[in-house]
Amino acid sequence: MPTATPVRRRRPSRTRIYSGLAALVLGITAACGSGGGEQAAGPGGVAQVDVGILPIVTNAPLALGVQKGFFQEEGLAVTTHLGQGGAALLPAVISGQYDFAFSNNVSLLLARSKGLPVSIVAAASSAGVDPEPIDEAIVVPAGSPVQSVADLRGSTVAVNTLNNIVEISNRVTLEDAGVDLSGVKFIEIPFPDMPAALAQGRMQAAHIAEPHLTKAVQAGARIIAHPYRVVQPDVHISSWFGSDQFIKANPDTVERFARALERSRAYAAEHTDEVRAFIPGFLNLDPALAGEIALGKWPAGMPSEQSLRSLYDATTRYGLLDPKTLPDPTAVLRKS
Amino acid sequence: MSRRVVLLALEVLTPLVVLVGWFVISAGSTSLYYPPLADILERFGQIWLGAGFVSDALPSLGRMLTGYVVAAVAGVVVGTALGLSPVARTLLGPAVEFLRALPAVLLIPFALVVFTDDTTMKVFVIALGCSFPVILNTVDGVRSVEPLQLDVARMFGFGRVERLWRVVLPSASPQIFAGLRASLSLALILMVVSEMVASTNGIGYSILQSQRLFATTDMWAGIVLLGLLGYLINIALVVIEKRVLAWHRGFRASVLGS
Repeated sequence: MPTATPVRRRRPSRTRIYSGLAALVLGITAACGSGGGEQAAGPGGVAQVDVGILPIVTNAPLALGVQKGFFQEEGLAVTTHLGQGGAALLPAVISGQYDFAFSNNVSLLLARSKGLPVSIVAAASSAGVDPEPIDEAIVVPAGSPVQSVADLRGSTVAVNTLNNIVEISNRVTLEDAGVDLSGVKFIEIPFPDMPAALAQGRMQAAHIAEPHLTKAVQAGARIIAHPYRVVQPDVHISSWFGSDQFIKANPDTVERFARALERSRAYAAEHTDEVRAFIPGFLNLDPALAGEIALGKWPAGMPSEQSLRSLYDATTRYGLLDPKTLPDPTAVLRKS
Repeated sequence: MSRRVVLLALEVLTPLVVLVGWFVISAGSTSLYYPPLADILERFGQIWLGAGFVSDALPSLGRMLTGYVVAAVAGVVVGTALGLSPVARTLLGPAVEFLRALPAVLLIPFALVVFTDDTTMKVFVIALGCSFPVILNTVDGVRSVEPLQLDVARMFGFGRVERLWRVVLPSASPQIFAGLRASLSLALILMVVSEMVASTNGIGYSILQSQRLFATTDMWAGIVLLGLLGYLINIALVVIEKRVLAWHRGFRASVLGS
C-alpha cells in the first residue's frame, strides 16, 4: 500500500449519502419482492427450507417429523419459525422469508381472491366426524343459561381471528340453528386468554382450540357445538402452502417437502403416544394436560375440493369474498 | 425573503413533496402490499369520511380522550405529591420507576380479565400508559421550583395551598406540558393496540378487520387516518399550551432580553 501520499479524510459527500440511501431503499424493496429463487441444491443435495408454523397441536406432526429426521432424509434442512397467527405467516411466504407455512383454508381462499400468489401444497388438518374427539369447539362458561347454539341469540362470541375459518364456521353454525346473525357480535381474543375471559363473562361463548379447550372444560365450561362439522363433516380446516413463485421454481423441493410431510403425518397418526410426549416441549405444556387433550385429525394428501367449496360458499355468502375475484376455489390448490 | 418565511414554506412544502412523491411512485402499482396512493385516498374517503367516522373513529377518539384526561389529572396529582414530598418519593419512587418501564400493552390480557366492561378496559390501558410521562415530568418540574420564589411567597404570607396554586404549579407547567405532549402519541398508540383485542368497534378494530381480509388498501386508509389524527391532536395541544403558557414565553423573552 502506497503510504507516501497523505490520504485526505473526506466526509462522505451529500450525493454519496443519497445514493447510499437509494441503494438501501432499493435493497429493501428487492428483498421484499424476491420470493423464492431457485434453491442452491440440486436433486442430490440438501436444500435449506424455512417453514412458518404456529404453536398449536395441529403443527406437532411436522415439528416431530423434523426432529425424527424425516425431512433430513429427503434432503431438506428444515428450520421452523414460530409465528403468532396464519395472517402473519402469509406475508412472510409472499416475501420469500419462509418457503412454506401453515394457514387455515378460509384465509388462504381470501388471500388468493385478493391476488396473493399462494397455493396449497398439502392438507394439514380436518374436522373428523361425530363422535370422534375434536380439538376445537364452541363452549359456554360454567353456569351459563345457554343450552344450545339457538340460545346464542344476540350474544357476543369470541374467536381467535376475525374473518378466518373460525368466524366463518361459527356464523354457519349459528345461522344453521336459526340465530339471527345481525344480532351477534364476534370479538377477537387469543386462545390462551379465552378461558379466563369466558369465566369472567366478557362474552357468552367462545370458539376454543386445544389445549385451552381442555383447560376450559376442566374449569366447568360446556361444549355446545363443533362448528367445522356443521359446515361439512370432516371438512378440511387448514393446509401447508407456499408462494406460486417458489413452487414453480422449486418443483423438486416441493415434492420432497410433501413426501416428508406425509411421512411425518402417518408416523404421528400411528404413534399418538409419542406425539403426546412431544407436545409438552413443543407447546410448553403440562405433560398431564398433554395426555388428555384431543389431538385432532391429520388427513393425507391435498384438501378435498368439496371442503374448499363448502368454505368458499359460506365465505362468499357472508360477503367477505367476492366471487368475481376468485371464481374457482380449487385455484388455491397447487397445480401439479 | 426572511428566514421565517423560508422555514414556514419548508414546513408546508416538505410533506406536500413527500405526498406527491408517494402519489407518483405508487401510481399504477399492482403490488397488494403497496397499493397506489390514489386508491388509498379513495378508500379513505369512502370509509372514514362516511359511516366509519361515526361507527369507528368517534368511539376511538372518545376512549382515547377519556384515558388521556384521566392520565393527565392523575399524573399531575401524583407527580406533584412526589415532587413536594421527599418521603413520598422515597416510598413510591421505586414503584413508579418499575411501572413506567412496563409497556402498558402487556397489561391488556390482564385488563381483559379484570374489567368486564370493554370501554373501561381500554381507558385503563390508555390512562396507565399515558400517566408515567406526566408523572415524571411533573416531579421534575415541581422539584425545580426556585427556592427563592417559594421564600418570597412565604414572606408575602401565602398558605400552602396558595403556594401550590400560584407558585409551584405555574412554575412546573412548562415541564408538565412536555410530559403531556409525550403522552399524546402514546395515547394514540395504546388506543389502536387496545382495540385490536376483544373489540367490536374502533379504528384499531377496523384496521385489524382489513388485515384479516387482506384488504391492504383499507388498512393503509386507516393508517393515513391515524397519521392525520396524530398531527391534528398535536396541533390542538400546542394551541392549548400556547394559551396556558403565554406568561411563560413572555417571561422568558423578558429575562433573556430577546
